[in-house]
Order: sequence, then C-alpha cells, then structure tokens
Amino acid sequence: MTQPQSRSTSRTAPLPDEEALVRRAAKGDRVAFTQLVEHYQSACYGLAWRLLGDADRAADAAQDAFVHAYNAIAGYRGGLFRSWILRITANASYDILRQLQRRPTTTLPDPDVGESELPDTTAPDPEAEAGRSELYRHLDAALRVLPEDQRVAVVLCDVYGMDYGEVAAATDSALGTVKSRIHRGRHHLRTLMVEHRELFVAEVRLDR
Amino acid sequence: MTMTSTFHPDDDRLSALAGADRDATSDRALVEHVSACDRCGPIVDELRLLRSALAGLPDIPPSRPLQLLPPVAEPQTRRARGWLQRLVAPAIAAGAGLVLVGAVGTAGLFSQLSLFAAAGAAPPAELASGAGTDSGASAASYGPGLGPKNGSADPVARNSPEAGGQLDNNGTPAAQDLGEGQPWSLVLLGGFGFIGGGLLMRRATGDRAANDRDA
Repeated sequence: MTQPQSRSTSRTAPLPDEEALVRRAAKGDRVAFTQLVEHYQSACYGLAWRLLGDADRAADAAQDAFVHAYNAIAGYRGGLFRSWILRITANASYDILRQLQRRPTTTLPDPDVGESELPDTTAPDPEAEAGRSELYRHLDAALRVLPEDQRVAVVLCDVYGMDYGEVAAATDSALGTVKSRIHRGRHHLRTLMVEHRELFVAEVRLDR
Repeated sequence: MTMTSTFHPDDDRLSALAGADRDATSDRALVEHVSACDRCGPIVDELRLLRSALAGLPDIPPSRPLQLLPPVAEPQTRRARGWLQRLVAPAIAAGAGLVLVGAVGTAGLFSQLSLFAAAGAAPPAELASGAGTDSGASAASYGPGLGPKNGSADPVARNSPEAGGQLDNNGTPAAQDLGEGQPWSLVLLGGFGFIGGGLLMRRATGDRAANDRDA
C-alpha cells in the first residue's frame, strides 16, 4: 500500500475570482478550468485518499474526477465550486471502491499501517502545529480503522460537510442507512480516540 | 450534573444531537436529558469535539503530479473514428463488390436481350420487362464450356442454352428458367445499399468528430 508523500495543508479557501473563473470554464475556457482544478486538487486528493486509503488510487480518483468535472462544468448551476468538485470526487472514489469490492483479491487499506506515515500539517505556530498535527494524525489513523461503510459516511459528512442526502447520493444508499452508518462511525471513532482525549481538549474549539 | 433517568437515549439519538440534526435538537426531552445526565452529557460533548476535529482535517497535496485537464479532443476523435471506420470501410468495399457483380450480371442480361433481338426472336416476357434470371443463370453460366453438360445435376449448367438446356417451342430458353426473380437487380441494389450505408456511417463519423472538436 502506498502512502501520500507530501505534507498536508489546511483547508483550501475559495479563490477571490472564483465565480468569474467558473463562468469562463463553463464556456470552455481550459485555462480557467485548470486554475480551478489546480487550486482544489489538494482538497480532491485528500478526500479521495481518506476514502480509499491509498495514494495511487486516490490520485486516479482525483484525475477521474477532474475529467468528469471538465465534461460536466458546462451544466454547473452555481453554488460553491469546492462542494461541487468534492461531490464529483466522492463519486469517482466510490466508483473505485465498488470496483475493488468486485475484485476481492485486491487488498484494501491495512488499518495497522501508516500512522507514522500520515502527512503532517502546516501551521504558523510550531507548538500549535505539533499538537494539531498529532491530533490529525491520530484522527486519520482512526478513520482508517473504521469499517469501510462507516468511514465513507463519516468522511463525507463530518470531514467534508456533506448533508445526509448528498452522502446517500454519493454512496447510492438509503438515507436511513447513511444516518445509521454516520452515527455508528462517530461512536466508533470516539471509542478509538478516547486515549487521545487531551488532544481534543487542547486543540479543538467546540462549535456548538 | 445528575442522572435524570435510568433510561438513556440510544447512541443514534446522541450522535444526532451532537450532529445538530434538527429532529434531535428540537426533541426537548432528549435535550433536557442529555444536559442533566452524567452518562449521556459527556458522550455528546465528546462527539461534538470529534466532529469539530474532523471538520478541521487538512487537505492533502497529491502524492504525484495530477493531470488537471483531460486530453484534448483530437485523440478521442481518432479513437472514435478508428472503430467507426473499421465498420465503414468494409461496408463500402462490400457494396462496391456487389455493384460490380450486379453490373456484370445486368450487362450479361442485356447482352442476352441483344442476342435475342439480333436473332429476331421475341425474348421471354420476363427478359423483355427487365426481369433477370435466377442466380443460377449467371452471365458466366451462359458462356460455353462452363459447368457440366446437359443432364448434369447442376441446375446452372442444365438450364443454359449452350449447355443444351431446355428450350421452349420458339427455341428460346424457357421463361421460368430465365427469370424467376431479379437477382442482378437485387445484387445491384444491395451494393448501392451497402455503399449508401457506409457513406451515412462516414457522415456520422464526421459529425461525431466535429462534435469532439467542439467539445
């Protein structure tokens, strides 16, 4: 199993001229489309990697998503471009997951491997960076321990902010099934992260 | 915080509350229980912390350079043309072959009509009306020396005049022998059909290629 080699970054913020770029891209401007995709490639790759747990497959899924996005952008109907391209990436990643399920000889990510290989984060304050990266490394490692259906649901919903309907559409599942997977996944993650509770207290600002 | 009840909400309800699901946050009994319960309150708090942490997980740069744009349309056009042209070319070639065979057969038929006219004999009705002979009565089979002679089991040879085929009372080949159908016309039509089909497919290929270029 291959791992991402690069360091992770914080969440990609929208481009200042994003709406204009999207309009140009929708009219067939390949330069504008390239700018958009280049800007969001880390977001797409990160999502694919968290769903697939494999660097090469994640890169394949991200590239598939870019092709789908290029073919579909003429019909783009507004909203956040990040959300739109992440939905496409989720679909592309889930297609790969289904292909892997149809080929049982293919190995899925090994949950016992990779905590130390998970990417670091970057932050201006080195001390905060150290603590935050540790929390995120543990979180990513815990996500990989989850059963696949729970992992996919939690990643799409809680990491990438999709609502239940969007997760259901991306995973071709019933709404009730998706909710159940998310709830079970959260409790499973909470159990896995109990020993790192102090990291949460120190690093996470609670948004009630 | 005190335990308000020995009956606790199930994990899904606690997760729904932590996830700020509307049906959970509007469930007054659930909210009151969680706010007062020593067991459920901390669980919901931890789930909320967990969700906040998950929402802060950073993006990850790709492990290798990604191709940001699909290849330009030209290679796709070549691929699209490739499989269609594999169909178009044989259709046109087969059509051309059929047209050739049909034309030769028709020419043979007309030469027969000319022979009848030169000999002053009335051609059979089917020939006069443009009807062909059956497939066995090909131009070649009317030629000398082809096929077995009279009495052969081969209906082609048996029915050809040069081979001693059956003649009617006027010395002309029997009408039924010469024209049960219109095979040369059909061959000719089939050939044109093939060519027409091939050309249509070629045009469709051209349209698709143009669309690909536009895309």
